[in-house]
Amino acid sequence: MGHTKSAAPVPVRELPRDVRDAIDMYVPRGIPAQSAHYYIQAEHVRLLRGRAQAERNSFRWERTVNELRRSLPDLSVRDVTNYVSENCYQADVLLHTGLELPEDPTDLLGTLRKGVRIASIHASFLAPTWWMGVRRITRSGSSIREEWEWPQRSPAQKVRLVADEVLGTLGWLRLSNDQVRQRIANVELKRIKPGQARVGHVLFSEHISFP
Amino acid sequence: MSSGTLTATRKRPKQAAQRLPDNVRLALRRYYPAEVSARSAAYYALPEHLALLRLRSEAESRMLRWNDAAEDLKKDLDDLAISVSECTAFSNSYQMEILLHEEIPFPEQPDGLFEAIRKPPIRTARLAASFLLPYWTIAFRKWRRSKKGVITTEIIPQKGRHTTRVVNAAAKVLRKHGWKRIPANLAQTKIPNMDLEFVPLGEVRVADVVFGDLNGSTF
Repeated sequence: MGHTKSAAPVPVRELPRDVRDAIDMYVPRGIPAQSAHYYIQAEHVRLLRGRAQAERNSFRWERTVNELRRSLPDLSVRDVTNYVSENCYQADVLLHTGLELPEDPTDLLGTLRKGVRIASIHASFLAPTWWMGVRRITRSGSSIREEWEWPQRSPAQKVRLVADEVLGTLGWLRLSNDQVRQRIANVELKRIKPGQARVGHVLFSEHISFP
Repeated sequence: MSSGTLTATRKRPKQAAQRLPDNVRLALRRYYPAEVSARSAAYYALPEHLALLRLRSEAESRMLRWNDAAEDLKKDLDDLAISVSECTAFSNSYQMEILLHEEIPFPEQPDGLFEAIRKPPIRTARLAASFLLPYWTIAFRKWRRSKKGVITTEIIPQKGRHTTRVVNAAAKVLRKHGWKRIPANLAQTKIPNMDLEFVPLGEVRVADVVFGDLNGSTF
């Protein structure tokens, strides 16, 4: 995967083979994602079946999460995979020692007043690739802010190295921040405006905010 | 969130489903998987859900029917602006929004409402006609914008200027096009042992199935 620029969208044919194959297999093209016709295309139906199959095979990911827990004894690790609307297994690692990561991380804002930092490990259903991003959750007045950190700071580095080892043995290859941020021309997704789709939106989740 | 297939499995009891009208039961059987929770990815790969996706696609192809109804309604409500939704991908109904303020055109974006109408409250009527069953419904909404610019809507009772007139015009036009207003008690009837992607188990009403998710704006 040699591309590093994220600003200019590139055509699908110029993307690395794994990404290109995933788009060809699972993303309808030539139809707006706001059209109901998009959701009956073979590619989208294949995506729905792929998510169901990933859910059936969830025990493999549960084993991987247990392996991450063993390798990161000081940190709390939680399986937060959403098989219904995302395209990846996901494990969240709380980057604060001595605390349990609850189902709703905003519950920790009472204890961690400067904000909660979470490393989110995404391993795609659609291609043997993974990526780790760091989220920061803070309170701003009465509202909650959640942002992805760019660039990422330690101690996320340690988590990344452990994840690299654990996921690497299962055949998943890590994508860099630049690679997941790469914009793709002429690809439309349900929640992403035309022209704004990134490699990470296709392979992992449409909920990631890239800078 | 992990949702294992075993924990997500459930059955809709025949007894409870039998209390629903035949047409609703038939729609449920055709388009809503009965044995799996909507919190499981398996639900979305089942034939019933795929049939619902095909129905939505067919509804988009027949959009002309809704556009015709909208044209007829515009003749009756010629002083009120109407915004017709062209999207059938995420709900089970055709939709349009009627601005309950005379002689003001519909803006491109919701923000424009607050520039066009200086005197609050801003009120609209949202009309939805199902393509699952021949029923229509209407909801009146009040629009607010916070100091931070966040726009929210609130369902309000049917009262105030233009509301009765809009309901009567909708009833006349939609009857001509084959729809009838859904009885309020049927719309609110809960369907036991059923969930939807955004509606938890036990909270699903017949209206949620007949019209689909109506939370989004038609803008």
